[in-house]
Amino acid sequence: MSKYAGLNNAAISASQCAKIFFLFGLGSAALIVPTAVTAIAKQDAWISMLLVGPVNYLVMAVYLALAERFPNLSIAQYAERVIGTWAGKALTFTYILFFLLLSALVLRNISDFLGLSVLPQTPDWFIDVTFMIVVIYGVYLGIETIARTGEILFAWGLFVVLIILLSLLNQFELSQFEPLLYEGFERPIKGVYPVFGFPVCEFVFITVILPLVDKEERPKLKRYINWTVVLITVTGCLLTVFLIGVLGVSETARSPFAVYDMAKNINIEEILVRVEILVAIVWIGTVFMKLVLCVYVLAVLTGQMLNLSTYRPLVFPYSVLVIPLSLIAYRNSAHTNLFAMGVWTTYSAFQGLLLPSLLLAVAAIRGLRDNGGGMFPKLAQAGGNRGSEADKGQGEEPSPA
Amino acid sequence: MVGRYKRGVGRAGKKTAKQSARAEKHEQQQLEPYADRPLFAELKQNRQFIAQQMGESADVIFREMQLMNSIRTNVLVVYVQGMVDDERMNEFVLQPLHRERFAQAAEARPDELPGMFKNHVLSTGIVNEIKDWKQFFEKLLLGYCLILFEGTSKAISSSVVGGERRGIEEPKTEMAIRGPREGFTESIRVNTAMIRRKIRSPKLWLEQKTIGELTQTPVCIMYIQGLADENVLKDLRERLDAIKIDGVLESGYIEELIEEQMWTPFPTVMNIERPDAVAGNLLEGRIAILVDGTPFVLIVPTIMNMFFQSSEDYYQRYDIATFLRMLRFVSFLIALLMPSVYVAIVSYHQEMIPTQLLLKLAAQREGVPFPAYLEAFIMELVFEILREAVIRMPSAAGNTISIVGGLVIGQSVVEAGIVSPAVVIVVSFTAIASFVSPAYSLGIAARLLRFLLLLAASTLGFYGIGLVVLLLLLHLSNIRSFGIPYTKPFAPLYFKDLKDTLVRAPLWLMRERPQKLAVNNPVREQIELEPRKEPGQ
Repeated sequence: MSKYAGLNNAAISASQCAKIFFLFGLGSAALIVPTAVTAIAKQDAWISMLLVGPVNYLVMAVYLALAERFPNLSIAQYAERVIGTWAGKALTFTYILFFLLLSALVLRNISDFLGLSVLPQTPDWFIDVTFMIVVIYGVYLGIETIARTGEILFAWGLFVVLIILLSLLNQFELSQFEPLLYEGFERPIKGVYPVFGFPVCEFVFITVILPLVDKEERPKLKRYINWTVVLITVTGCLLTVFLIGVLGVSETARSPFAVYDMAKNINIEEILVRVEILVAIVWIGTVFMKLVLCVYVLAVLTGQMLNLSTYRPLVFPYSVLVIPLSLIAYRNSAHTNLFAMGVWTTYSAFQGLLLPSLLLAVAAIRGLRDNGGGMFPKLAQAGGNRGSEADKGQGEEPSPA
Repeated sequence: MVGRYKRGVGRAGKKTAKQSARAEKHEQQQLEPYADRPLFAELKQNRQFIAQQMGESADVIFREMQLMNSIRTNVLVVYVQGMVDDERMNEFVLQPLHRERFAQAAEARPDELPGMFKNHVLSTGIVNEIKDWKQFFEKLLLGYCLILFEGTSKAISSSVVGGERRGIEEPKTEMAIRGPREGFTESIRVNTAMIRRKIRSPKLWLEQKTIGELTQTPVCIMYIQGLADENVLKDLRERLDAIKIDGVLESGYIEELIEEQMWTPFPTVMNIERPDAVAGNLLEGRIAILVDGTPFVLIVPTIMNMFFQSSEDYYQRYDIATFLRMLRFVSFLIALLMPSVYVAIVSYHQEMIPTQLLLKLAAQREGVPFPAYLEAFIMELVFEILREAVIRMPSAAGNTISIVGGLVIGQSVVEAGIVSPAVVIVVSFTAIASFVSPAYSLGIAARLLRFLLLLAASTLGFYGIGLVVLLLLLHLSNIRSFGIPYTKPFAPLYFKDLKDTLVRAPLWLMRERPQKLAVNNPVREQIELEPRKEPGQ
């Protein structure tokens, strides 16, 4: 298996899908977004984080409705069926650009974070390159491996987050939340705006992962995804609550990596101090998952757009492209915040909500449904020896050009 | 088990010209020329042929006798000295040939003699008729004695296998406080019998193959029919059949040749020296591979979790067993990570250490000429050298090494101020932790990876460690052993299987066998085993 695992096609379970969705959701957002939300909504930021839940649910509902119509197809493939081959390819191309930029931004996030707080003297490009090497390896191994790694990171991540929150309980001050809603619901609702773009609308990546879920697991999928939305909302809310309770509004709004700064406050009897590196390690893990998924989706979408037989040759070139792109994407980390809060939401909502909704609407009006397979075309050589077994449980026919 | 990579089978389809030329060359060296070549009818010719083929080797014994029938048929008994049991040979083969009552068969024709001997004369358990030279040499070199008759090209073989062998002793690599004291030996029949004595079921099946064209090593597959997965079995048979090699001297040869993943420090086939542990694995639906000439039995499919299980876990109470399990996991992590974490903290993240400790460490490092990573690297290397030296050297010199290693290096190096005491503490604690794992082969992986992690920690601090750990996670998630993911049951998560991982649940809770293994027969025990309170309590 290992040698050819997911060379063309693979299957993951519903719970694996939910877990990588959770890690993507935590991804780079958990460390950065609370700052942006708190800057807008002040001490009511946690209400914003709660309000994100229903929004997130609606966005996921669009993807799930699309997945119901085209259970074995990714967005690149059903776009071609819904709005025609060439228009579909053009649409896929916009997604390729989107994920290319997203990968670069995620990579920039991690190098900013490490450069600012952990390794101040190491040049950015070195951090980028070392991180990308691991990402390339991960993407190259395929979605099954990524999903299994995700399961371990998920358990470890939850464990560490819980430990950190528990050890901060002694510094929690309820008075930081006062006054509650003193300008009404306007501010918390405005606070939803940055989260809506980052990360909620980025969840469009899941339209590429959903068709890979094992057929037998499909009935559970919707339930799992919805529960994950709840879990993401609760985690985001909990983190924000602790940020405001421990750090206070003004410090949270000023700190570029608020959760990391919050972990610095951990102090148990002067023995367990300065364990923020644990947060850093968990965060490296979640960002890693997000980046791996972005690059994977990027390569797979390109492969599907071009009718390639495998996505793997694309991984390395794309990674080489992502590194310089991440270096020039922002001028500095202040610029990051500006961009993430102002520009990104518009772009992300366009790609993540508007286009899929339009696709869904057109598909619903035209009454299109397709149970056909969306696997990569089989390799022509060696009598399909490599691909044949991996197709088990998925559509057998190669996707029509 | 999707798209499992099959060694050999996948390759067979597309042989290149170079490969087939090599294969042809290979054919010529085999023992195959003997196949289908019948024995000669004349005894003298046979004797000459054997002597010539075996280069007149001195340990091949020819014993010529004459039967007491009317035509005084000449008989030739051939065996290899040292490989047969002399007493049994005399009692059950040579004496019956001399026996008087054999004169009754006076009128038998020569070609009836072998059958008659087989049925009436030889009283050993295994007697076969031999037709060609291939069978002849196979049996002769397994320690059988061969009986040839004048005037017929048939011969018979009789099992009198014996000779000096090591007895059953306590296993050297897997000690246990509680549990059986016996370990496997070098003799495959003794080993299979030891497993049979644990599982007295007709469903314990055994398949034998011969691997190694020159060594002709017997290799057995043992499994419980109905528990072991047929797909895994089929796969295993295919992989074993694909092995074409001149010799198999230890199960390590088989292990390396049936592994799916070659580029990994992690063992994907487990080896065990304890019969009870093998029996336990068979009962879970795994398959054992026994190789003659080694006490190490292979188990497939292997998952990483198995290396943290010891057979003793199941003989002790579950609470202490759970504690020991966790201790082993923690020790593995210490053995893997501790030196690199030390280096990362000391050189990059000093803020993590409480101030008092930091001052102590700084005072120690005062005047030490090397940076922390170099110190750690040197001490790790010294430790590895010591460890290897102690294993290989004659035991009489062992004490010298422990004195030189412990006192001279450990103490004087610190006193001379070449390395700081903290590094010595870290390295020795790592060494002790690395011996906690009940499986030696996983410890080796940790040994290698320790250096990689040290390198990462010295260049990038905790970030480097994080990267390498991510790399390892990806790698571990990618490994499969006979289709079973190596990280099962953590990823993919099988919630029910967690009962036998970080914790060892009470036996009455282990109702089911591990998932995806004993697919047809998952239930291990009856539900009524749950302890109940006495009425009235």
